[in-house]
Amino acid sequence: MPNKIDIFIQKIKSDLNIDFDLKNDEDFLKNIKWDSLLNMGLLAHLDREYNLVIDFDDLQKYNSLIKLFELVEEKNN
Amino acid sequence: MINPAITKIEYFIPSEDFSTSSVLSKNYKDASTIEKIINKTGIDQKYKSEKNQYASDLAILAIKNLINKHSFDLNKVDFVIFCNQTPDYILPMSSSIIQNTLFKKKNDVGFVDISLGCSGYIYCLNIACSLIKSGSYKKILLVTSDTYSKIINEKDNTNLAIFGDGASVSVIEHKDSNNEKNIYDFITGCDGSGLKDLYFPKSGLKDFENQDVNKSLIMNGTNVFSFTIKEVPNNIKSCLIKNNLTDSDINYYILHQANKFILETLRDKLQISKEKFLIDLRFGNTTSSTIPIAMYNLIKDKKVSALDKLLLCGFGVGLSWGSTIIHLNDDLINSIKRVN
Repeated sequence: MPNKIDIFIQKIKSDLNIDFDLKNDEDFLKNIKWDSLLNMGLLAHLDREYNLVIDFDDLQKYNSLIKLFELVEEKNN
Repeated sequence: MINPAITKIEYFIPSEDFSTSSVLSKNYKDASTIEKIINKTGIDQKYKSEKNQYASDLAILAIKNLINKHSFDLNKVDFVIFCNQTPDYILPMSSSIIQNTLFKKKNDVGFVDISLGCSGYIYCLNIACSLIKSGSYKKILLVTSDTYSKIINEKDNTNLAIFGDGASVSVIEHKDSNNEKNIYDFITGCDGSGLKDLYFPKSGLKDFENQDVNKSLIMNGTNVFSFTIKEVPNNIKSCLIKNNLTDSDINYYILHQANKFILETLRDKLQISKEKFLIDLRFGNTTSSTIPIAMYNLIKDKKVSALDKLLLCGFGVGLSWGSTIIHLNDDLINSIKRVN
């Protein structure tokens, strides 16, 4: 049974059509396939799904899917 | 009561190809990546000015379209507002070039440049309406024009995929109407903390002594997007509240046509129906000209009436934003329908 973090990450990957290899703890900003359109897609996803609006500084700080999950969890608690 | 209205709109788009597919093909070998970008932004066809053609030239050609297509009499104009961020010179103001080209025999007209980008049409419409309401001026030309193609680095795929050149002109004047207001109240804002999220370094006197020739537009697209989804929905809601209106009063929403992804995100966030929410990117993001061009094409392409209310919203460089609501009117509708 998928846990909370798996569901969170799967939702992002499916919404953003991420069809390349991206590890959960990888710095996505450094992934060669990650582009500014994905930045915008990610921001839109977080806003729509979790009512969380972040900017580029935040993305640099929370630059992996795991760190983003922790950010969302922190906000919800 | 003086009741300002937009009574005419025209525009000019240059003819040199600047389509996303052609400009990005120089930087990407993979056609599927270009296709993915076009699908996301909704922008392919767009155009740029010629080598020696500048914002004032495009503006003059838009005004000439107004004169020629609508038999418009420039002699009745008593003030011109020129909104642009790619001026021919830092000084003098580019509107003096418009004066010298089109108004040579008439020097009792006021001319002013306003330095704004994608929120510029709303800000300048606000200023034009205030000048008309003051009683000091009767007929104002609101001109928008930019040539961003000249300041984008040839390797900057984000900006290359979005911006195109273009110009527009709107006539603002009093118009008797059954409507209490032809143009409703404005609500505008600015947050200078984001000024470097969309800017042109070394373009002015700051760092003048260290200028080099390699200057180009810089945009932090992620921050501009973040600003947009944070500020624009609030601005639109505040505009409706300020004017005692609700979504059901609005027939069409015309926001600055930044790109399809931003517009669809805003539409979903605001829960506006697709039918009411215009997406018209036929010439790409022409900065301050997107709203008047989209308005023109709405009237040209759809069955609209003088009872229709449009909510207009601009947002972008500054970072700045602004909204208002306008009633369409027969003069504007008929003038566009007649020439198309």
